[in-house]
Amino acid sequence: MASNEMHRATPFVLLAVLFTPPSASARADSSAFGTPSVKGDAKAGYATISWSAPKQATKQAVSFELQHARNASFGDAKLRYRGPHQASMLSGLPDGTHYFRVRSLGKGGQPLASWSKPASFVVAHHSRRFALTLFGMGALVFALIVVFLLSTKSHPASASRGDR
Amino acid sequence: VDATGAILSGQTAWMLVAVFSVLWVALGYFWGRKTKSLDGHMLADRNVGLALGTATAVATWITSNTTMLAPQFALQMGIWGMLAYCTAATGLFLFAPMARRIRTLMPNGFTSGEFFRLRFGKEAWLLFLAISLFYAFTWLVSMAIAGGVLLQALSGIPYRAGMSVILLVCTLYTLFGGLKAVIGTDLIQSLIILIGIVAVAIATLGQADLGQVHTLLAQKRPALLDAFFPAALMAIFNNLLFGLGEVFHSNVWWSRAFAMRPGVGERAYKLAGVLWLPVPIVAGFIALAAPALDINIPQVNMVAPLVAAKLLGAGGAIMVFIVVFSSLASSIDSLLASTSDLITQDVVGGLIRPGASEELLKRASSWVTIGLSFAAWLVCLGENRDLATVLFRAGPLVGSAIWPVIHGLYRNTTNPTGVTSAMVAGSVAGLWAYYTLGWYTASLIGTVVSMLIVLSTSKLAPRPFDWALLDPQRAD
Repeated sequence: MASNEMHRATPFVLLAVLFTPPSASARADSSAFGTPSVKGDAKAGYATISWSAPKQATKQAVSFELQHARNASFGDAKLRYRGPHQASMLSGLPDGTHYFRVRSLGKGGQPLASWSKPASFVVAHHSRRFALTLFGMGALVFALIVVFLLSTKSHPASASRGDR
Repeated sequence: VDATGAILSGQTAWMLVAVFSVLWVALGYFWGRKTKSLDGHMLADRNVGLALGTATAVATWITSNTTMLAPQFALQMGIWGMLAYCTAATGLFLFAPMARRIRTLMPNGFTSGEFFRLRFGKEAWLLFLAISLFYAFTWLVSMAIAGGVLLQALSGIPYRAGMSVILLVCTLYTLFGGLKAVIGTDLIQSLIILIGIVAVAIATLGQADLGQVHTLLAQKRPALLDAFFPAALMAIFNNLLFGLGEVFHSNVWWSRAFAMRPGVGERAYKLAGVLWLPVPIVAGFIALAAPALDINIPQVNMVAPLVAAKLLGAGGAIMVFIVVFSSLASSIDSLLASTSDLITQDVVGGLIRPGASEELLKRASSWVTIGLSFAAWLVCLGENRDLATVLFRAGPLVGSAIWPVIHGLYRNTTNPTGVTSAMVAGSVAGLWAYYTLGWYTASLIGTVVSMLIVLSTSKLAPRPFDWALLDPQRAD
């Protein structure tokens, strides 16, 4: 009886778990004004960097620049995006800390303001060994399903409806 | 493309929505006008042939996820990510022989829930209903949300207006025409989608050949070409098993197996897999070409529309809009129809009014379709646009149903208590993996746990079953 009640209650427990708000897998430091926000999956090395400029700057700005660096001083900075969008998705990021900063540009391409405060995003991929273990496990389960379905063609239980 | 990413004017978009809405509803009315029986409404008189059967399977499986999420996988996880999405075709291939078996064992069957009830008893059936209805409803909601978001992103049509129109149109023609209308419109929609995808692929190859894409990716995002990209490696079989779980358990696919003529199902599902497979490959390649073409991606699920608009201009934008509208409609209508069947047959006919007449069930089916659509609409009105992520949490749940379905279909020794325990334990373990290891492990863990329980309990405590019980009319 207790077992039956547990089985009946289980769907509702599962539903409660399923509808809990999602937790961001990684969030970098961000502020409401000008500092980029970074959301992504640190274990898979991808993130979307978005930003909002002060209202005054937004009126004058025709484009934005996004820089990406591996050290906080931006000595090795690379331009990742220049254009009107206020977000950019980057993927394939290697392990380590990544820094991002943005600034707005006017009609002639001149900077309208100094760089924003940098946002950081720490990437730490799963270990290759762990990934290969799960890959192998998945391959084994899939192989078992295929073998099971193929074996049913010769299995007596699938030959007709009325056996046993 | 403006600063918000819109690639089409609102006026043009509304005109396209109006034209296709009128077309789908008129066809639904035309195809459904002579349908009188419950079999006719729910299962198209169980007389669907190879062409329509194949088309409806292809169109239903090409969701907005195929055109939006496959490119997203490729952009996030590279080559393996693209292949991971393609593995969803395996669900159609492996379901093909199962469709024949289902049709043979249950010639008068209506739903996958009915199979669970007759095969495993009430406990497993109720748990299965909870899992299946949760999956179907989140899929429906995620499609409607995707519809609103995408129409807004593509053309500036307000989210609530776009989402409401697409739900309303699909509800109307499903209501008028039942499965006949769904399958008929699926044929047209699948042709539109396939032609559109091929055109975008040709245009992409015209501006960026494979060698160029590879070279630029190696320079700009080398990890996307890494054969040992950890998350992508894990995603491959996880996504494959998610796809198997979706197809094996869902009434969307079972109802088509019941609806196709004897001997048609197996060939139709195999052909559908062959036709579906190139779509995510093309969509994924388009995404990988984006960095090579210097296209900024402000919203990750907008890769394909942005690349198409850049390469094909205004014509491309219109084509993408029609493809997106068709792929959304072809999935929403199928979900509405098959989930309504599941609720009508299993909840109304099985729990609320056992032994209800065919006439009562047919009327109930219409009200259930309206109610389901209305409930989805209410959820979609909310501010939470992240509900699409809830669909991924259904991965371990449907993964845990794979072995109960296949073992129960082919072995007459499956232990019903083992099946219930397998679905509970598989779901719980998979959800744990979702939150602790990452979404790309959840279905795999759920499937493994469920498999071990089903196989061990059936071996240690086999429960003999008479296959004739799956066809109560004949057994009587």
